[in-house]
Amino acid sequence: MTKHQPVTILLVEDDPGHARLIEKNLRRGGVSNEIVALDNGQKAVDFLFKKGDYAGADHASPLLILLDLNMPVLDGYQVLKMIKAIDETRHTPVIVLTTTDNPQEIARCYEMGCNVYVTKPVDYDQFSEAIRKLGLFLSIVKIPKDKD
Amino acid sequence: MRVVPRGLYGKLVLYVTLIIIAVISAFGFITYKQQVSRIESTANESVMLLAKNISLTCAEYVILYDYTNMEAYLKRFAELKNILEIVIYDKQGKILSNVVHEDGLQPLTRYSSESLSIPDSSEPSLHIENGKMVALYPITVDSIIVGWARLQYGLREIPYIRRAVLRNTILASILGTFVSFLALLTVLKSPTRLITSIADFAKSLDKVKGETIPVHHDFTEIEQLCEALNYASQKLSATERELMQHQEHLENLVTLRAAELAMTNEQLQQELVERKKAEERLSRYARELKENNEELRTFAYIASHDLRTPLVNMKGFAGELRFSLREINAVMNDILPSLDENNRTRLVTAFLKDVPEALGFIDSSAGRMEELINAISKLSRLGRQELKPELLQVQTIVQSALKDLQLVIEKKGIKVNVGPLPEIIADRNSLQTILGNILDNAVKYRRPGVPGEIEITAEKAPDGTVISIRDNGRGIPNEEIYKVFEMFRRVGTQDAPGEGVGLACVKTLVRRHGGRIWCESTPGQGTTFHFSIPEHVEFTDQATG
Repeated sequence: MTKHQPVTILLVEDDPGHARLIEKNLRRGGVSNEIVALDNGQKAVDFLFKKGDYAGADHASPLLILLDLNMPVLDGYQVLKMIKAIDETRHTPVIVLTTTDNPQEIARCYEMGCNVYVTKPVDYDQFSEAIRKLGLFLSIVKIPKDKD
Repeated sequence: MRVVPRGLYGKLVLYVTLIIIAVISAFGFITYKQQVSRIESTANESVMLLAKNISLTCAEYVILYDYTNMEAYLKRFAELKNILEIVIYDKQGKILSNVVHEDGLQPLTRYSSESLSIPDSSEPSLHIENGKMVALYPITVDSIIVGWARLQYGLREIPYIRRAVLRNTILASILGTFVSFLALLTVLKSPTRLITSIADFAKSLDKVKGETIPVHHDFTEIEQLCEALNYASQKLSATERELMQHQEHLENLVTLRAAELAMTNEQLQQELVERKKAEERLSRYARELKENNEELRTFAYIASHDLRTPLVNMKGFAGELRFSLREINAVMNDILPSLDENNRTRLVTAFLKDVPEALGFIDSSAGRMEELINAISKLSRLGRQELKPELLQVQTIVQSALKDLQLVIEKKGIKVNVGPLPEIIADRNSLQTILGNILDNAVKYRRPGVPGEIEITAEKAPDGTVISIRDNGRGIPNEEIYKVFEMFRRVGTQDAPGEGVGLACVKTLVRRHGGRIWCESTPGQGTTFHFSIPEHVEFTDQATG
């Protein structure tokens, strides 16, 4: 039933539990894409701009970013700002996954160019449901390609 | 203005003048006497000489009794001045001839019958007879008296001389008086000096303390002046004494007041210091309060964020466990028959009873915790969200809130009375939340078995509009009433769902409008909530981002 896009999912989440739950539920939702999990914003930036540990790396497939807001070193807002500030990454879709449903934060994220904002529901069923739906959504979403 | 003063001065002038007049008069009198006597002695000599001459020449005629020739001879004498009468007597004293003087010598019209009383002595004599000089000279021939010559001499010059002397004397007196008067006028200087000294005394009266000026009894006016001045001086010194007393009294008063003032001042200073301290304390409290508030808000914000993260894991992995449990259960049915009774029971108890029970507790606790976090987060947002003032019809808001509760109201037959409600300036959402929460409580906490009644009224108060919501519900015990507006506190029987955050939110919103909220309640009778919205709203804690 799924038509997989050659898209790598970059999961930026400092809480390993959350990362694990998200990954599990994405898989359960039918997402079989490669998932790269990073536990802070700096690593995400390094990965995206091929710096530090990722210097010289070659990411062939386009990316989709799942971004948490509350993170040490570089928080989600800073990462989002950097992604949206550079031509290379500006069109990369960013899905903000966060614990609060504060309307001000949501508004701020959209202003900064996030594509989708998802609140991590505490209720497990809701959460897994949301992630699964996200997985379905991701499976049909068209990611713009850098080249071609 | 009188030039000659009375009294001492006048007396002095009078006495001196009289003395001068007396002296001058005496001098004039002596001069007069001397002149008169000089004139008289000259007259005597000349009369005696004349009488001698007459007697000598008349001797021949007497001897010869040649009367006619003698008279002719005598007429020559009569032409002399002041000769009044020349009479020749014989030796017996019988008149031989006479001549009477009256404006010159004229022959007597009649011969005096009187005879001369022959003097005892034969010496010539001179005497005054009726103010006239009379010389009697013997007519002798060879020292034998043959007759007598009597010559009466009238000193007609003497009254003139007397008058002249008198006139001179009077003139001299007048002159002397005038001179003495002038002299006295120069002496006036000394009374002037006296007066000047009195004037100085008068001028220095203000400095004189009870002194008196010696009284000059010789000068009536000066005496009076002195007395007046002394009286004035005494009065003045009495007044001064009085003034001194007053001043002393005043000074005492001033000293007293100054002391009181100093004391008051000190008290004020102390109060000021205390007040300043109090103000400092107050501003420190305000600062601390603000900081605390800020911390609380940060805490609420962080709590809603950071408490959620583990909660997501708790719930998430509980879900995972449940998922795993379903897997286990699926294979357990295949395994169970191969196990012995004991192991089977243990496995079934663990996987079908204990684990699901544990997962249930984890779920419900995590759920409750999420509710609390949501409440905190909601309150934190209400405390910071931006409020917009607008003109609102309270009636409209109340009706819309009642509409939300319409189902319950109708179902429970609650009677709602809405009085005339004003329009106020407030934030729309806030007012909706406030009225919605209070009305929700009124509907929720009814008294069992009693038809509900809710009344909404409003009135103008000094600090704005007070809106009151009265119900006839179960009421709140007095000792619990303070909990009503506290977060997570729920009063009374917990038979209605709720987070325990509604009235805390209401309180926050009312406070942010600058208003107050309070409630009165009697258990078993009902509760009335009042809240005020100021006429000029000024929102506090307006969100900064």
